[in-house]
Amino acid sequence: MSNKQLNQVFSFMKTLLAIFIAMIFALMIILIVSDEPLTALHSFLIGPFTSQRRIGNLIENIVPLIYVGLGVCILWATGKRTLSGEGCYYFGGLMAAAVSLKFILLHGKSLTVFAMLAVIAVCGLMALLPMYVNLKYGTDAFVVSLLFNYVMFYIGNYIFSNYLMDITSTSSGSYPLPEDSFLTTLIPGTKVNTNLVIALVMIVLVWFFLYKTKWGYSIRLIGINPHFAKCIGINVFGMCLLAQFLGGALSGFGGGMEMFGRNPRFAWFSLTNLGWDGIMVATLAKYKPQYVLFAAIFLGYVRTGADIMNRSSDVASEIVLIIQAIMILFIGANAFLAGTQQKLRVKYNEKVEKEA
Amino acid sequence: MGFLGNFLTTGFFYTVIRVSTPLIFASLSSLIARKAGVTNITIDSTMLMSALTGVLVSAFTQNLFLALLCGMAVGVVMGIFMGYFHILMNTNMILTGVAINTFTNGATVMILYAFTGDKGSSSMIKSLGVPGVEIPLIKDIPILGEILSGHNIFTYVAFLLVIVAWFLMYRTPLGLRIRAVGENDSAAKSVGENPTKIKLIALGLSGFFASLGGMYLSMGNMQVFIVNMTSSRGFIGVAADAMGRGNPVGAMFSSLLFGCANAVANVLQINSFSTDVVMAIPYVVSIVGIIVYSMREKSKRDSKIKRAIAEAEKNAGAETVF
Amino acid sequence: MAAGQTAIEMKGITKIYPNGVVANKDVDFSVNYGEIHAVMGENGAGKSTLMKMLFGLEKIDRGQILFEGKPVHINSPAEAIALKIGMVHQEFMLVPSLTVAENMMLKEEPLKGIFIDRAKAVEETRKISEKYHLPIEPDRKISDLPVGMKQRVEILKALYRGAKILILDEPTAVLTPQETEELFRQLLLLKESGHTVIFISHKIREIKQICDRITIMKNGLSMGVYDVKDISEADISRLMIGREIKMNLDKKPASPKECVLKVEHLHYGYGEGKLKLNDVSFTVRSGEILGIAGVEGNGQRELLELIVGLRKIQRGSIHIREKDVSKLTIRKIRDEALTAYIPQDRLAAGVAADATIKENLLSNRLSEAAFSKHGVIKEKELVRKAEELIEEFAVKCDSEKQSVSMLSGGNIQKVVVARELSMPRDLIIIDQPSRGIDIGSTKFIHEKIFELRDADTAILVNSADLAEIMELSDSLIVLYEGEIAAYFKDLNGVTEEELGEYMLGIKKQPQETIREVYYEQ
Repeated sequence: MSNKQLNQVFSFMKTLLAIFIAMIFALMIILIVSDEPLTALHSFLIGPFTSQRRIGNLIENIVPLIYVGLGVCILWATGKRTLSGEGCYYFGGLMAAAVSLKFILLHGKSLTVFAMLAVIAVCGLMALLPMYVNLKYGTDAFVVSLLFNYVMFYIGNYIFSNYLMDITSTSSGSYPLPEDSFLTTLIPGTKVNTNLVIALVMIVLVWFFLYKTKWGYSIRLIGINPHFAKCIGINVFGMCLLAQFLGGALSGFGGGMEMFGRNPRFAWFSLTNLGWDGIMVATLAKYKPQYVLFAAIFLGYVRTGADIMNRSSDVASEIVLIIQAIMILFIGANAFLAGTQQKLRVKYNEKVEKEA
Repeated sequence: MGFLGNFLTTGFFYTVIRVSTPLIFASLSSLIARKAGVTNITIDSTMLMSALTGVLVSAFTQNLFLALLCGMAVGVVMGIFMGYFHILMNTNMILTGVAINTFTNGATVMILYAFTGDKGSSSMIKSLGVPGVEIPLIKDIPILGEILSGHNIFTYVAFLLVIVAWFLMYRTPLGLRIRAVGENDSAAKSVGENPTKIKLIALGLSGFFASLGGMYLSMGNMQVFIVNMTSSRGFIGVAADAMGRGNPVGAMFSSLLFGCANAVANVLQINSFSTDVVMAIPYVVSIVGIIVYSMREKSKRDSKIKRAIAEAEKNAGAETVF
Repeated sequence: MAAGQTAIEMKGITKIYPNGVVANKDVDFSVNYGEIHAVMGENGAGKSTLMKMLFGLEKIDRGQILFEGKPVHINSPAEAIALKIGMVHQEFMLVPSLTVAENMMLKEEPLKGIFIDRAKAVEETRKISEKYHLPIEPDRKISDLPVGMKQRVEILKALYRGAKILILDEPTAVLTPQETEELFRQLLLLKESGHTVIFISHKIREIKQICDRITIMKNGLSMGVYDVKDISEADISRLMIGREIKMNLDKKPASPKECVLKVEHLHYGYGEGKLKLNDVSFTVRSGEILGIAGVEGNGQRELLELIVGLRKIQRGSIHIREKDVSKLTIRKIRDEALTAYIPQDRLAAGVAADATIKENLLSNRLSEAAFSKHGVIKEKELVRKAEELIEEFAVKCDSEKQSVSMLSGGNIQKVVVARELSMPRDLIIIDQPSRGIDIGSTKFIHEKIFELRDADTAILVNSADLAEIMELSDSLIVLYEGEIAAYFKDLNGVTEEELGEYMLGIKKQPQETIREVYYEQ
């Protein structure tokens, strides 16, 4: 086992341990607050698999997490961290709804495709701003992206309330979205549709982009050592912008796809918080697209379980937020177990030396 | 007057001050953390936690003083907790923020549910509030009196704290050390100061300011806790502070600008106008402000170099004449 | 505490860093009150480490410090300050947005109630500045001050905390000649008032000018303590730099052809105090290796980084085969002007340590048709090429998938060299080809460089290692204070003493000789 493998194994164990600690916390909370802890636990852990509808729910919860997780993988790949995923996810949904309602030249699936192309272009471009001013003038990309998310929201909400809002309907939201543009349902009786397949394809595409194209190589090299990347002539400016464009576009794409099948109307009255969820998924996945699926499944699973537990017992579903928080805190804490890791490394090296 | 008349009322300006109050607290909270070199994105959570703590303690003890004290303590603890993970456990700020904000979203609901059986608000229990006060003399001044008097005590505290924060940052040893640590912690180290300690103190103070903002919402402006009642005011505080360029007075004026946009939006909403553009203005102004500032700094550096080169060229020219 | 009395004695100091580097070995050092004591040595000679231990920034592994004859342990700067030791670091420990007085008083703020007594802070600053004849404006912001003034604030900061023994780490490196003169005047005043100044430097002229005694260090050892008035400049140079130089006899004589690199009237460093490069002109011709000798920090790094496009040219020009470098991006300098660059700081600029060997080896040629099509990487080709390079450059590793951070220094350097030198290039810029790597790797890299020279590549090498630069170079320039101090067309008969005198600014060749390094054709 090489030193690198040792690090990988350790990092994997650390993630598992963080999940374990979080689950122990959850268990304790359930035991304390619940009068019927066994029922609660059962519905939390087993619930998501007990009926077709629930499995459907599970999958529905997973799909958006895949998109935002992949989005963050790309947004953060250059090592410069922005929060653009949050604004882009919202705006993607809004754009998709706006185009499908207002663009009357196309119908059916071609409308879907056209709307999604518009989403990709617009969201990608919007994600450029915080990075552009950072590269150009040295502003804090993180703070600017945080603020710009609100600007995106208010622009979106302006469009929504002035052009899309259906004031005649009792259910508040936009005019009903054209059903012929909806995606094909895969599991009858649920809202699981081809979006799932597309999300899975996206994982492969993002992995392919980051690891098998020269731009992906370049972006990752910038993330590992920006000064080195500059020295060997990588266009750092361009690549950082490309990463933001793609990450923003992908997040927006996720939001847009939500509109074709899961929701009869556009009804987002605030930012969705999914951008932040994306950070969680990506962190859980160690910022590697190939692990995003597992991270999204896990997060989707605990969320679905918590929802079911909420309905069938006396434990509030919000417990899942506490689980997530503890997990992220321990996975993100670089100093957590760093001492142990160093000790292991030294011990391992000593062993190797002895053998040699 | 017509449409404009909606704005030029004393009520309007009164509202500006009222809605700016929590933003001032939040911006001061962000300011102190940022002076110590930390961008605090957990202010919103701290406000929520303190808001809830204040309500619950006051409802169950009926002791206002104790409730306020507990709320503040929770704020300070949240600030230091964040500092512990961010600084000592070396966790990226965004991740610390994500974790703590997520935790708060869950914990506030669970705690509220555990104590009141309701997941939306604390309206089932009777909590205490901090009263408003009429200010003698000022309340009798026409127009101004109506705008400035009769606010909640928290509001006056907010404005008072702007001054306190200013003196704290610019006139006390602690403030000097916070600023020194935030800008160049090896400078502080070289004179024997412990930067980690100073940062944790600053984050504790940041939590303290945030806690007041939260309690204003649940014990001043209203006397009830509602889930997510901060509605991102903590983030607006970060924005206001960024626009205020690290000066408490600047942060106050930026908060008032955000508050103003809020009040204008309120009026427009009543008149069924679109409010979104107005609401977006402060964010746009913040972003533009941050960019313009950085551009100016950059061009200052560039022009220094350009001047030096031009001078050298001139001297070189003079040499060849000889 | 009379002048002349021993203030500090360090006895048998040994310091070994965790990576095994012996920074100090059995070093004895002592300073008296009322003297200016120079500590001289090349980079890496161990002088900074010794001083850091004295100021409590590094732990002593073996040895003893005596303060006024009594043994002491100095574990932190605070304890050093308590012993009245102050240090002015090369990088200033100042807070730019605070005023002079605020920086001065940090952690020692005078109070009025709970507030800082600002009037008193200003007053105290003024008082201390008058006492030591170091005029300063207490209300100015640090960021508005020129470098010389900032340094003065640092000195005053130490004096305000009661320092009697003042360590200055290469104080003149950032100063203009006028500022240097001013500093010297002030240091002499301090000496008169009974202070001790420990002056770290490698500029003989300056030491001759103001120092009383000198401790010379080389390779972690003390080469002895001398009275400055008794030792000649040539002796200092010999003690500090001298080493055995083996001429490489196998090396074929160079046959230079046309000019590849043309540097004309290059200036750099405007707007930040002293110029790092001052009117440098030279050429490098194909088929020759031009070496740059010089004590580190005399503009070598800036010069090389300007050539490869990492810094923006401020004044003057650089052409590579008639292509104006100022108009090219880094990528074009590499791909169109056909320039390779081996940077001095391997881990910071030479590799992406956490990426694999394969990714590092081919990171600069992903756009080539052989390795990608429509942007998609041809993985098989990449692996094949990586394996080929690993073989050719004898990189010791398990596989091309291993991360570079797992390799030894020598093998990391081989990865850099393999990446940079495996493609046909017109010009190769090498900064410190063998710093900190094993003999085998060094030999391999040197041979590669000769091989490329014989294939008519133009090569510019900088090395702080005199033996190496003498071995590699066909001809040589010496940089001193950002200017070319000497040009040696060929190295036959050049002695290390002679080079040392140019490197330390004792001598300078006449302009006509220096100008010869600029070939018109």
